[in-house]
Amino acid sequence: MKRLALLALACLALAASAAGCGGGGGTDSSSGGGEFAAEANAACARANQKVAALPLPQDEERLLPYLDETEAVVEALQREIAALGGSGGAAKAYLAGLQKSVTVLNEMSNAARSRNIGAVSEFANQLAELRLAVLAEAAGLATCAKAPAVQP
Amino acid sequence: MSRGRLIPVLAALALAVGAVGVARATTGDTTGFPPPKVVVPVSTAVPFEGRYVLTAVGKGANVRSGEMKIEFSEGSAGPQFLVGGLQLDEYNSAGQLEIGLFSLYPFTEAPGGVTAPILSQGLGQVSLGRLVLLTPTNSTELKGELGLHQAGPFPVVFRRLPEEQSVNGSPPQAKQLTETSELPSAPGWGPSPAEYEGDYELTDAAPDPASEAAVLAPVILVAQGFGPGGVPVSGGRMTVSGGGSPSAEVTLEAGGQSRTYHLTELAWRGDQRVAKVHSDSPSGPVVGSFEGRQAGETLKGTLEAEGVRYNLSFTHRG
Repeated sequence: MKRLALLALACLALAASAAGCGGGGGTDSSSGGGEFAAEANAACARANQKVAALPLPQDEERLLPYLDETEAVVEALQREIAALGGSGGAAKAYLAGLQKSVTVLNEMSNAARSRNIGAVSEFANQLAELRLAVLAEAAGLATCAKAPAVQP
Repeated sequence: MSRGRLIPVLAALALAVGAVGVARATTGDTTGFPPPKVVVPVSTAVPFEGRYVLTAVGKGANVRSGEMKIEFSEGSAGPQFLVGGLQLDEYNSAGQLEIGLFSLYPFTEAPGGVTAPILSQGLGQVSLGRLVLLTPTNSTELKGELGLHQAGPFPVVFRRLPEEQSVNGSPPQAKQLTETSELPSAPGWGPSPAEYEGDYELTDAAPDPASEAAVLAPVILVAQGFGPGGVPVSGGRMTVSGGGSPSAEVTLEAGGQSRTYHLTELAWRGDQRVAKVHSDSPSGPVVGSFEGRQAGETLKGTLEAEGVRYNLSFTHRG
């Protein structure tokens, strides 16, 4: 996807590194305690590293594999977080956000598979509206609120 | 309807379709048209017969891709006449892709080639535009002009498909032709530098869609970058200078990063405004182009640089 990705993702790299992506997270008394937060943040750090390592698509042909791989990472993260069993409302809301993300990513991949680029863009808007970082912050999951440190 | 009842119905539908021989495939209908009052002579019509894929189209047409079939109508009495089917993958006003299936009928002679109305399909066909095709000068390429939905005409280039080749209903993305070759050469962005010099403010800034997306941020930016709306710009400004070589400096904020482009060879005609885009300095390599329209103090246009497209709207602040 050419320069766009480089420009936009460079920012993510800076933001993530400045915020200490992968570092320790906060705790949330409503989410089941520090142990949940620590393990969830660790899972998010791993997911961010995997997303950051994905090669950026330079053309439409490589867009679909990128979407598929992103979906796989987010789905794995969702399963990990679910297995941790956070009990608070904020933790459940974050988990619901992840679940919805997987659904939308799946639809996005299907749109890319049928070369409906307009729909791919529309699903991106739906992902943005989930405000996953806000949900993570509310659950006390500081690392989960960070963006992957993508290298341009 | 149960599956058991559905299967016979589908089978009957399939037989019915086969029985009437609807020749639509992935393009539009080409059967059932009566002989037109005026027929293109066969000697003129023959070079146009064939299957084509759209390889280039004027970007103002909002067409991503397309394919076309032109053939002589079968089974009707009287002289042979051309009928065409056209599939266009069009961006609608919301930026989403829609597949449009059209018929091309009746063909008539036109200066340098043939032309046909672009008809909607189904009951009550209406003319939605016109396609002009120039007599091909080689065996692979067909050029013409497309006017559709009261816009255009836009240049189009088709490539002839060999008999054994198919795009399977998913034609590749056509090259988007800019208007640069048709655009003005009058220097500056208006008759008087006083009219266009100064500072411009971006008026259609959008929030950064990835700022609160956490692990989803990269995929959002990647996906939107491929979309028809281009990269969301969260802020920006432009300063235009006159003088002997009018130029401009544009700073755009996208994805949380600020990027500066240098515009040179500013030119205008009527409300059209164009420029070449450089990335690092005005004397650096050209990495794209700007094309816009001026309406009062508002300048709306598209800046394309290094494969990235930004849709921009500026207001001249003086």
